[in-house]
Order: sequence, then structure tokens, then C-alpha cells
Amino acid sequence: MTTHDERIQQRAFEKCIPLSVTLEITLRCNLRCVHCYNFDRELSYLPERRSEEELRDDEIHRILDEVRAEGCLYLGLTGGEALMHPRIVDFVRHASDSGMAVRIKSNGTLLRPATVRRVAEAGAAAIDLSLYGSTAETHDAFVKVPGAWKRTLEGAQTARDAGLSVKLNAVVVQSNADEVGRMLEMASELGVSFNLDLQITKRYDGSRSSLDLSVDRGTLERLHRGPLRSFVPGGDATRKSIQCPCARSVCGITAFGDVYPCIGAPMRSGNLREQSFHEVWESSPQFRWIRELRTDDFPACRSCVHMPYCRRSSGVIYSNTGVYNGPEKFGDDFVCIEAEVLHQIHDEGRASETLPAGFTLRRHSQD
Amino acid sequence: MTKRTPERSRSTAWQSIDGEMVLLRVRARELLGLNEVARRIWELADGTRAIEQIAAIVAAEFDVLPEVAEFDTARFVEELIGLDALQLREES
Repeated sequence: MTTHDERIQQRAFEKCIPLSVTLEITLRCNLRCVHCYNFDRELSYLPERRSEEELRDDEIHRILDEVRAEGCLYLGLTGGEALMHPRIVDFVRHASDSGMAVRIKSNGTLLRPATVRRVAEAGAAAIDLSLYGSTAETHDAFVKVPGAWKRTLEGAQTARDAGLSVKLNAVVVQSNADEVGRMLEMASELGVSFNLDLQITKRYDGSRSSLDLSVDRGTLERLHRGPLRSFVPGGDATRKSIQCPCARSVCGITAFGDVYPCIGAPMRSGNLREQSFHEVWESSPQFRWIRELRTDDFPACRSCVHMPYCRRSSGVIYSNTGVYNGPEKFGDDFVCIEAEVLHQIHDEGRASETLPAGFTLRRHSQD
Repeated sequence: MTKRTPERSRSTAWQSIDGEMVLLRVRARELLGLNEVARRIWELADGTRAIEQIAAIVAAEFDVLPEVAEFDTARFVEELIGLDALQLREES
């Protein structure tokens, strides 16, 4: 049995309606996360670009109208740190008034009560916050700003108390893997949703050092046999399609107006300073190519025995290998190892048929 | 006489998807599909028309008796108010 939401998602996928759009409103950020996919935060800004080149306020308002007209229902405003943009409340109000459900993706450190009140009054539906450890020591070392952990958790409480739907997003790396269980408990104690992301991507500036942070196979196995055992897919959780919703029901727009198949797939498919969103969505050669991909076009995946357990994201694979329909052979990407581990644990009979409510493991393009 | 004007609440998002109007109750994360008449009432309930004016348009466009349209419109508006999808502005 499918829910109304699943039927709408499926229809948007089949008819290529951009139901979920993520818009970067700025790349500026007040943290310096070691894994940041935007660029190496030891630098002041993205190499060869200037912050003055980011979308102007009037351009963002125009883009909001254009994605809405094309079918967007779920709008994510992200960064950088989205709350660093001085006009974010105006963007939230514009999007909400035109009928979109607005989710702000934030590090949470700027969620003071007055800010939360303003974005809530403007119509924000939800806030996703990033958590990188169960202790201030781990989290603050990851984001390289002392005091950030405390402010993020205070922000989560403030947003929750204001009635916003709050989700803690944790990127699991080798250095915080031992804290995953406690992070899950913290989300539960806070009464908020929790999302775990086990995959790290190369940065969009081309640097690869972030990949060194990724968990190894031994850690992956330990996590899935331990605190994440309830996330191991059960026997009926088979994956029906290799294809992501990228460029079909999902789309991403960068702070410079570049259009991507999703914000996690940095394949430049048009620019909204040169074309309308409608033109890009309908006519981009990259989008058309993605929409025509069939199972046989995924060389390592088409006959993979681990497919029912795979959380493959074309965006992540494209980011890391440059091949959207990759990997070219099994094992070239982290997701292959993860699928193999999940399959093995499932076959050992340790899988759980039920996931805790409100807790997810993310495929990048589906958020 | 009090003029009752429905307007959309910020707690509900909406979109026409492949011809079907859906409402999303954002905090409940619930999607609701609307039929043709309900869709038209939703479109008209933008804070510029009283319930009676919406009902008159519905009666004309769907060829139903005015009193039936008025009853059905008022009932649907009440239902949406109950879901926090609409708010009512009352002016005397």
C-alpha cells in the first residue's frame, strides 16, 4: 500500500515535476567544518569566485517564482549557512506565501529566539541542523569553532519550542563514529528527528581531503551491528530502481544560479542568469540525458546482488568519481562497501523490520 | 451582517501536481488531495472574497443551486479551518 505522499512523489518522478528544490542562498558560513562540500573552509571563499557574485535578492525572488511555477512544493534554503543571509526572512515569507513548504538547512548556531520567531512567523515549516558529535569537544573540533555544539543544541530546542519541525543531521566520520549511539539518544531526548549520513563527498572546489575522514569498513560493520542495527533494511525493503529522483522530481540551484540535478550532484546543467528555470528544466541536455538513463546504463549496479541494500546516490558518486551513472565497477565507491555490509548483516538474520519513527539514513538526493 | 473572508494559513503548502491540487499540512506532514470543486474553493479562498462570493462563483461554474453551493462551500471552509489550512477574517 502506498501513501498519498508516495503517490505524489512517484507521479512527480514519472512526469518530471520539480517537487523538491534546494536553493543555496549564500556560501558564506560562520563555521569551518572539515568535511564541507562547498569548499575548503580554511580559505576565505570559493577559489576564483567572489561573494559579490552570489545571487542578488531580486534574482532569488525571481527564482522562487520560477521554481514554484514549475511545480515545486518542497523548498530547501541552504548555504553555506542560510541564516547568514540578511534577507532570509523575506525569502521564507515569499516562498511560504506562494504555497511552498520551506525547510531551512542550518548549523543552528544562529538560531536565537528572535530569529526563530521571525522565520517561524514568515512561514518556515522545518529546520535541519547539523550535528557532528555527542560532545562539545568532538563537534567543536569538527566545525572548528568553540562553543558551536552548545549553540546548535540550544538552537534545536528553541526551534522545537517554536513549533518548527526539527531534524538533526549527523555526518558520521571516523572521528565521531563512537558517538553515534549517544547522538541518537540526544535526538530522542530532544524529541526531534534524526538523520545519519555515512557518505562524505569530494569538495566542489575539487579538493579531496574531506574523503580522508570517511569511516572504514570495520567501523561501518561495527555501527551496523551496534547502534545502527535497526537501520539495516529488512527483507522486504528491496530497492526498485537504481535511478535517483535527481533531475526528475529534485533539483538544486547554487548561490551563483547554476542548476544541478540535485544540490548534491554538481553537474552544471544551466544557469538562471542566462535562462529561466523553465528553460533549464525542460531543455537542459544534462537533464535529458539523466532522464533517459535505464538500468542497463549503470554498469556496476545493473546486476549487483547487493542492490536491495544499496543507498546509492548518483550525486555522491558523480561528486567523487565524475561518473554520474557510476561506479564503473563494484567497489569503486563507498556505497558498494556499505551495501555489501548491509547485505551480509541482513543475511546473518540481524536485520530489523522496523525503523524507529522519525529516524532515517539519507540518500543525498532525497532530502 | 458579518462578512466572513477565508484566507490561507501559512501552516499549509499547496501545489497542483499533474492536474491534482494537493495541500500539505506542513507540521503534520500530511498531504491531502482535492477534487475539482474543492480545488476551486481553495483557489478562491485567497483572502479577497467572502464565503458567499466564493459560493456564488462555484454555483455559476459548476452549475449547482446557489443554496447548495453556499452550504457546501461553508462546510468545506469550516473543514479547512479545522485543519488549520484556512483562517477566517470577520468584518462587520
